[in-house]
Amino acid sequence: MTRFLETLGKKPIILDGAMGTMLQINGLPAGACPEGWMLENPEAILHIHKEYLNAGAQIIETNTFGGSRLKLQEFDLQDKTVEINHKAAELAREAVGNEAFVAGIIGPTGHFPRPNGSLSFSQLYDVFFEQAQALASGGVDLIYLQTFSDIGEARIALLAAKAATNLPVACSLTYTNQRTLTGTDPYTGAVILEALGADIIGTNCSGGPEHLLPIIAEMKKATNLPLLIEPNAGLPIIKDGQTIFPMNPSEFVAFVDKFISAGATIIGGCCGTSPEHIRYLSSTMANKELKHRGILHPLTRLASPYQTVEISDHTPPIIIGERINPTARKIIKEAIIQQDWAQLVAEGQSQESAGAHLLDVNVGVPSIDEVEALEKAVISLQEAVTSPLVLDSTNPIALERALQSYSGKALINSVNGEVASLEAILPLAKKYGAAIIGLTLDERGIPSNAQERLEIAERIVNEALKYGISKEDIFIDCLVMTVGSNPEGALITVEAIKEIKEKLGVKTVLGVSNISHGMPQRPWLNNAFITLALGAGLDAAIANPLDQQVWQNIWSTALLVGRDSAGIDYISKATANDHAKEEIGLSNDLPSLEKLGNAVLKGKKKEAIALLQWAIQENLSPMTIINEGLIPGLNKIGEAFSKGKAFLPQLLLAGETASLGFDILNKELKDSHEKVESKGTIVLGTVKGDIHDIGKNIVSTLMKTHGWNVIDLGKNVPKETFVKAAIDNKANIVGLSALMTTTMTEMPEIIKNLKQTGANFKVIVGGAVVTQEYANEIGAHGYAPDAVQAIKLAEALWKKE
Amino acid sequence: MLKLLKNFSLQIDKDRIKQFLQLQENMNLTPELELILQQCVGKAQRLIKPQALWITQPKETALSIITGQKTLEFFQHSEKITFLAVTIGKELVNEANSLMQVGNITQGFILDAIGSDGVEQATDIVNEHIVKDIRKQGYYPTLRFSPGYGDWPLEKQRDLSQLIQTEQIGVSITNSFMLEPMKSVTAAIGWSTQEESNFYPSWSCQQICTKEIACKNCIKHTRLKNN
Repeated sequence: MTRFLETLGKKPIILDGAMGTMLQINGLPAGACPEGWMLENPEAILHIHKEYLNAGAQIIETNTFGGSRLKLQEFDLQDKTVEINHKAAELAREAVGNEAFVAGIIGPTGHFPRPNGSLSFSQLYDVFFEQAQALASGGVDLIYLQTFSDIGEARIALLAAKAATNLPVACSLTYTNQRTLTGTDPYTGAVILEALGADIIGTNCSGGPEHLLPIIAEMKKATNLPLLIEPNAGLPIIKDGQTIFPMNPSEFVAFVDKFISAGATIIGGCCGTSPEHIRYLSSTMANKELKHRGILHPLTRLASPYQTVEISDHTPPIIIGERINPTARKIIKEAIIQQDWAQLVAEGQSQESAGAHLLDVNVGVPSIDEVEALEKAVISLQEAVTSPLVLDSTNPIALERALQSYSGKALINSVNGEVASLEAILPLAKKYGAAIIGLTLDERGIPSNAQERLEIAERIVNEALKYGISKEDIFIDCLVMTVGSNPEGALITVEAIKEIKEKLGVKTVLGVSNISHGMPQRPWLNNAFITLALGAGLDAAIANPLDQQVWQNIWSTALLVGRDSAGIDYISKATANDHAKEEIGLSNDLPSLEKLGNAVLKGKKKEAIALLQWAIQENLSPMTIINEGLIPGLNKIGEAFSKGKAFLPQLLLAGETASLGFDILNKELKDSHEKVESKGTIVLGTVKGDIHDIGKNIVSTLMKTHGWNVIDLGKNVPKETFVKAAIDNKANIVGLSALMTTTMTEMPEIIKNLKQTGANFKVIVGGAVVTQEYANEIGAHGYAPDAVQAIKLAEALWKKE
Repeated sequence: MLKLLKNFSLQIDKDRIKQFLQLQENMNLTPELELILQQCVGKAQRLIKPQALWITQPKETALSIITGQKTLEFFQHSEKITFLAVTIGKELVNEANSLMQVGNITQGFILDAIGSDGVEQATDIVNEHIVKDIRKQGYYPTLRFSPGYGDWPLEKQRDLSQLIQTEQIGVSITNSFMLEPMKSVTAAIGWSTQEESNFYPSWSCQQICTKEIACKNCIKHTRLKNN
């Protein structure tokens, strides 16, 4: 293990290049399984490895990217999994002897663990364990987990590889636009993999060197571990019938200095690279030294698969949402008993929207199976929230299953000073890369003074350190009882926080709401106590994030105790609502109907309403307001739209604004004898078989605002319904919409049926596939390409006498 | 073997949505519309639930689904075909519809556009994931091709859907061969033995542009042309 890791650190190391294309050049038939083919053609594999070795590669990758049982199963070769991986490792070793290291490659299985896919932790774990073990038995120097696009799967592979072998494990993720397929950013990926004990972290595939550079730079910000990078040689293009890699070897290696500056220690090539690329890489890197990266100070970090939350003494304390907890919350208790995980998810989402940094998950209802419930709750929440989770249980089996299912870096709540608790839970935290909350209680209960709580905390910290858990991953909860039964308790807790922060240098956390248990006006006490605790240095409050007062306390106290340098956070929070308060109403200019028209044109609803109310107060007649205010606005936007100077959403918003106006005026008109005359009646619908109706909806709304009586039949409308509605409503116009070539054939049918009634219905047609020619062909009276044209067309076809 | 992926990450990109809103160059959203767009993006983040299924088949098996002389030519160098189905679920569409029904047509329309962009983007993401696999195994990917493009009959949508078992991700086919929920895509990607063109063949493109749901493919086409 050490031999390989020892070589890291001075000079950059060269990995080899692509395998797939080399296999084809060397005779792999199309459609064959590369790993299976190897068994019959070992010389070809030896030859490829030697080519890369001779080109200067210092790490040779085994031909086992698709060598997991699940991948081999696609070729019915699953029974040869062990043989293939063992043989591949032996071949690589045979090819390079001691001249290079051999990396046992493990690729993704193509399936995903829950919640993104359908496989369980143990299904995938067994697959990776088997492959890693077989590669190790064949003599590889390290395991290299390559091209993982899901942090969940990478995590399982890493855990399995570490359990199956004692070799160093490199883990490389693949990205598109700075996110893995399932949403993990490079920084968070590095945080999670480092916590799990990866020895090397990196990125491969994903694109050319320029695409991978920012990813590796982000990873460098997250970890001190050696970084690996294997870009593609750009993406190939065809020119004059020839395949060309846009990036030839010399262009490829032009990035080496940038890679080294960005922190890369191990550099190789992925798709599109050849021994020629590696040869260039080797000569370019021959006289390069690694730059000193600078050591990152250890940080307290928790992560969901989607984001990292950092906690430091220089940034405001965080809130851990407390509301997913059946104690004292009947609705949650009921949801857990009924296995209604959607209820828990909703609770998680509302806390997250309110700003909670982490979410506590407690499913401890006495009558239920906590192991199953916690796992299911975690899987459901992981799908729906981005805040890291706090696994609130003291049951080691429940915790282990939840840790297996959670793809982030979780916080365990909790371990305590009892020997049994320490021995059961600390190894889990280490194995699954989680942080812990340690409660200052032990076999004797909760000490009544700060000094003894400090002693328990010290014991927890020392034990955790022995297990290899870093100090940054330890939170101490000094505990507080309700002030109702324990009047001195609050200050003892505050003192303990202060002592522990000072003497042990770990993070502190507190379930603050306990202070008010059984008391009236609980938020009063909770908020007063939060302020005291924050003053003593509390880093994380388990509290109700829906209580705005809690936030105001945190933001204010953070500023007062120096955790918000220059008050940046405070100012931004304290002024956040100012923009919303800006008046949108009337300007100082005198109101007029012209202004009303402009408000319609621009879709300024509040201004339009204010102007309407002014006009009504001025005793202007509703018809005047419509004809000189609303209609000119609508006409202007319609014109602008027809000329391509306004676009559809503007047209729609103007329509909405005008119809607000009509609604108000209609109420006014009811009181007078005036009446807004309808321009005519149109029956509108999307033809049978067609479920696309957005265009029809737009026409419908805009025709209403232009004074038409619209009978909207919806979508997927049978021809008989059109005919009946046209007759029943004495329609002047029937509008048909269709979006597909397969459904527009309904149109002539409907026209035929309408003609048979003998009434003179005018038919207009539209929709993506419909054209003027088609309209002519089927005997429609008109065709409109958009809503504005439809209105013009309708008005041209039908004018009231 | 069928592969399933749920809840993968989509980033709602306002610029792309503006493209879907048919906003031309040099046109900016008014402050009122910016605000509505912002609200819709927030809603969409909750409502979009991407899911995908795909399966890779040897060419011979795939030929029961891929028909049409031109389409077969498109896949002529492919040894295997990956068939895929992608959806963002029905929640966004339902919400857009109910907004429209209560007269909130602008929000409904914008939300619908975000959904169109969302399913396109989700398909791009799955496409790229499959392409990585194809390249890693030493093959070359074709562009993705869907029933209804060129001479590949839309009716084949049904066979494709049965093969991928799209009901697993809640996607069904209507009698007129539309996908339900609407914001769903089915397609095929070939595993070619030679590097394939980055452009859709002109015959399919004309078809796509004049005969089928035009906008998204045109944007794609333009994007490819510009690259």
